[in-house]
Amino acid sequence: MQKSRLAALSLKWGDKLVAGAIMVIALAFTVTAYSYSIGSVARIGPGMMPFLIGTCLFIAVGFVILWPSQEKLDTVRVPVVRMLALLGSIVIWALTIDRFGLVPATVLLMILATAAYKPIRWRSTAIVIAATTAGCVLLFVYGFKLPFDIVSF
Amino acid sequence: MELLSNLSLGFSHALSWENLLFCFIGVSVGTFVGVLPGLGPLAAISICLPLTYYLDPTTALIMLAGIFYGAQYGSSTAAILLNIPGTSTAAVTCLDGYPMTQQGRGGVALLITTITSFLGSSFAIMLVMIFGPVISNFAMNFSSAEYFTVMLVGLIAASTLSVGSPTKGIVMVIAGLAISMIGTDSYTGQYRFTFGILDFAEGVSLVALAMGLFGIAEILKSLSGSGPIEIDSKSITFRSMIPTRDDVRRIWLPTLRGASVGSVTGAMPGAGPALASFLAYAVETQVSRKPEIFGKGAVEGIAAPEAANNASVQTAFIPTLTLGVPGDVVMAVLLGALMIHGITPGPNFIAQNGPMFWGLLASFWIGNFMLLILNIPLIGIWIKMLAIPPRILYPVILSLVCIGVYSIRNNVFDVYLMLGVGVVSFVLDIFRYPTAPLLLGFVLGPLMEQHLRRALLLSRGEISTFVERPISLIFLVIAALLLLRLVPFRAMAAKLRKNTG
Repeated sequence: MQKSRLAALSLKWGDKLVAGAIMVIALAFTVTAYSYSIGSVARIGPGMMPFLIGTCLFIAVGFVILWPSQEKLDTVRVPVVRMLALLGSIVIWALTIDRFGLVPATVLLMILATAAYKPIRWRSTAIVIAATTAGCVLLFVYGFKLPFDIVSF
Repeated sequence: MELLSNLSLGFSHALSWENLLFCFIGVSVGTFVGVLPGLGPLAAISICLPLTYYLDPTTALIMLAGIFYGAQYGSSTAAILLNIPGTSTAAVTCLDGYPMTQQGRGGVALLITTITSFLGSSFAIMLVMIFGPVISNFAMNFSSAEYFTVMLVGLIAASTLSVGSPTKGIVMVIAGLAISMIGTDSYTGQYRFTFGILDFAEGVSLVALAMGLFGIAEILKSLSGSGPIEIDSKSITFRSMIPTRDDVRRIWLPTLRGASVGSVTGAMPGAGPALASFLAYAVETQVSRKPEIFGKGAVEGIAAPEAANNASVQTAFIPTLTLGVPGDVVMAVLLGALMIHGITPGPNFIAQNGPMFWGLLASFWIGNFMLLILNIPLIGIWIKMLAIPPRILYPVILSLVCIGVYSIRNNVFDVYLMLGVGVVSFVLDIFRYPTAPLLLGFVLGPLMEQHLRRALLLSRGEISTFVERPISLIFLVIAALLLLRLVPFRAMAAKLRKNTG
């Protein structure tokens, strides 16, 4: 009971925090837009449209903060470690694609991404990784003729 | 007569081996993602978007459209057999489809949804063929003022009529407009919001944004979801699908009504297939002599919404292609795909790209026919797809997503951008900020700025140009009415009363 009340409270404050963050971004956006040339009504400058958009965003998010919607937010389980593994797999791919080529990058991504899901069955995973990597090379390198290095050290 | 010659032109394009192949790929991928709960057509279209760079624009559009309407077919499978709608459009199908499965009539429900989906689509395709060119001719009178206001209506309608908080929808649509401002100003060449990062000079990549918003966010959500679904696919045989004579007699009128409701709803900005199926179901419960049978396995309750959501998907192409105003986010992505190829839909689209327009319409029929074949005899295979474990499915999708985003500019910056957008989208989703309107705003932002600039330049700075032109005025009034619906007058009055004691 105590736990669910705490979760509801954190969701409520989280909602305000998100709205507040958008408001700050809207304000910064409007100020930055104002630093560009606004121009005149007949010949509007590069800053006019972003300035209008930033102002509208600020007002709209103000409505969200002042009159929050009554819909109930559901608590969402966030498995941090597994999510980090999944997000890390993308970072690893981005770090390795230019240096080591498509095959090592894809294999590393798949290993780390699969580790985010339980239970890990390494035998079937190895087959899936091999098939996916081969499929990607065939489709993108030989099919679409994209300028990827298959393997480069 | 002209219609027939246009149709024959369209079929001559759509029946080329390349278009047939990619139409087949599109409807198969669409059915696949439709069957799988969670991964919807939007994520699939976003993931396939990079591939379209290497295809002819017509072929690319045929494939992406095939994913969209293919998903409508597939989504009813999980709704009927498991009470889990593959996409939001099939949520209504659960109401009577699942009770039919419980009564041992799941096969009949699957066949009826497939046939009514085909009939609904065919009805709507004919409407697009007839009304597409008519609306295009009408829109020839539009100037920049009308374009600006019609886009404004489209954006407001899409964000306020969608599911969830309309105010948060508006916030997201404006956020999308803001993101679209990043990059080089096309009139003056000035960098805006690039903060010294040269990768931003060309603006935010549509593909990276779409994949982050829908692909990565969906994969992150899968981590807190449940495992694969167990189902006995052998229980659905071809014989078990054959409806009774009474079933056939009862579905004709609901199918026709559903197709009509769906066709009208699809052509309206912001309405979309989910609303179409809900409306069609509501109409059936109102006109039926036995409303008590709904929710207990009534064939009318699956025929009408399925015809409606498939019809709405087809007529949604009318405003997108003839006005250049996408009705919903899937259409916005398709519009973006065309813009990638340097084609801007609008009143001149049909005149300038006749083979593409008629080829696309012809492909709708071919695609829907393929779906009939895919869905009836191969239903057992689609059901087995439900059992693919996330630990296999999502890493494979993730690798395709990364390769797809990177391949656009051979730049890892877009991959990091996609990652950041995905995380932000996941957080926004927890707090019920709808991410779809953001993409709509992003696609329409540069066009709106261009038309605003042009309208004010032509009127020599007279803002009244937007109210002096009758069509523009009508759109402005509609936009104002939609916005007024959002103002919480009661809550504001209560707060004022409270403050004044």
